[in-house]
Amino acid sequence: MFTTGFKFFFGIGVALVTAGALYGYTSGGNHMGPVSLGWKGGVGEHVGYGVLVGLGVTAMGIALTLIFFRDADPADQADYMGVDDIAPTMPVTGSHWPIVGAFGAGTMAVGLVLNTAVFITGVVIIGLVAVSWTMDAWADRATGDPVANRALRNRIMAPLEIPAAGAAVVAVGVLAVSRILLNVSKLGAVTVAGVVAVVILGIGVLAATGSLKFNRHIVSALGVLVAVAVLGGGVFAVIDGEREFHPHEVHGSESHDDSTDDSHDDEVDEDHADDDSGSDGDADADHTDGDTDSE
Amino acid sequence: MTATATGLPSAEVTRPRTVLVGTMFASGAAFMAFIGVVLVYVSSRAQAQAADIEWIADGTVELGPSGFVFATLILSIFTVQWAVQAINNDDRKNALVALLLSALFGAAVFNQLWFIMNDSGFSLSANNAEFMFFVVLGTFVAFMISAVGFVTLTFLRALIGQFGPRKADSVAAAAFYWNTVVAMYAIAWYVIFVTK
Repeated sequence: MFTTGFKFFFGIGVALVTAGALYGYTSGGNHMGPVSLGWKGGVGEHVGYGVLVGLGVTAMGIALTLIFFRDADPADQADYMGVDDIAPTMPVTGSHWPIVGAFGAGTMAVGLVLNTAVFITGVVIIGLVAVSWTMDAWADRATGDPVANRALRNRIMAPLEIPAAGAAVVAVGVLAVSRILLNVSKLGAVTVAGVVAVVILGIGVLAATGSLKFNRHIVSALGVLVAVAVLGGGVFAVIDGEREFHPHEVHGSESHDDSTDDSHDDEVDEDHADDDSGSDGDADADHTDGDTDSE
Repeated sequence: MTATATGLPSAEVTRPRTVLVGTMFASGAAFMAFIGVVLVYVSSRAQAQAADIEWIADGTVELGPSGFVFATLILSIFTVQWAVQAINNDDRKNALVALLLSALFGAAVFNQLWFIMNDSGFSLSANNAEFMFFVVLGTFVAFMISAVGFVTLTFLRALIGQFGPRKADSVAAAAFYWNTVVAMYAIAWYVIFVTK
């Protein structure tokens, strides 16, 4: 009559509600408070009492639901479906979307603190995960052949995922590296950019000449490490802020040249807004130092 | 692509009620999370009262609008259960209407809660009482958003014919989660608006 699941959860529920009432009386509850949820008297310490009673009520709710569905028992399910034997639960394909989704949620949380762009990036990641994960779940049950399911899924999603992933990698990479270069010193930025360029060129040369045999797993692991380093460095650089810029002082407006001024950043112009009051606002552009060029 | 057209073996029938059982545990966890937030509210209120500090001034939080929210949610319990009953009877048309109505009731709840929050004139940074008021209602709104999302997804899946008498699990699961969220509001309504 009563299923095992019902007995288990109902027992837990009764024990927790009883514990809640006892805790209420021993922590300052009075009259009928702890047994009437505070209706007639005090319940004692609110949080502990509430957690115990809340857990007890939840356990009882689960117990009642389980007895309605007979603990999802295979024999009962077969009867429910009108078949002799119930099919075993089909294992789903391993998925990396939960991890990516968690990263998206983390990005959203960080974005709420840092800036809107990071938050929107998190929202976009969550959206992509929702679509891709849904497609995975659908493809897992499309046919009884896992290989065909995978091919079907890739046929639909690959034309969307590969360009989107490529664009995302480029965008995030550019953004993160630019923040890193703006964070380190002027000489450091040149050094970092130079070393990275030489390493990429070197690996490319070794790969092209066949001197280096790539193991797929090692390349994947290195790729993940580089991605984490670039992304982590970028986040750290955003938090730490850009390095201090020291533009040269303006000595006059005679060296002004509009054709070369547009590439200079706003902070230089703002720094000299007062100095330029008697001349063209772009006059300082020729006097910025190498820091701005390194950007 | 169908198994018949390609000659591939058809997928095995999904074992019933696994989604429902999973949703049941998730709903229990969500319910306890909400209870935790409400308990922090109750505890803060008790501390304020013990220190003879006014918690929420009379007349700032009305019972009427919050009661309309509760009434709307009670109506939604009937519509969401109507969807479960309809899909079990292979009545997809009624199931779709019921799911859509439930989602619309959810939208109405957002509208009413927005009114309540504005009408109270509370500010997040004013004092602990007003801050906790927003914390509890904000947590409820977050769970309500997830419930409306669940029902909307179920509606879309029902629209493309994924459910029937032999496969009504997800509809029942959506209804279970929806009813859990309604229970959350019942607690919040009693604690915040009735007992103040």
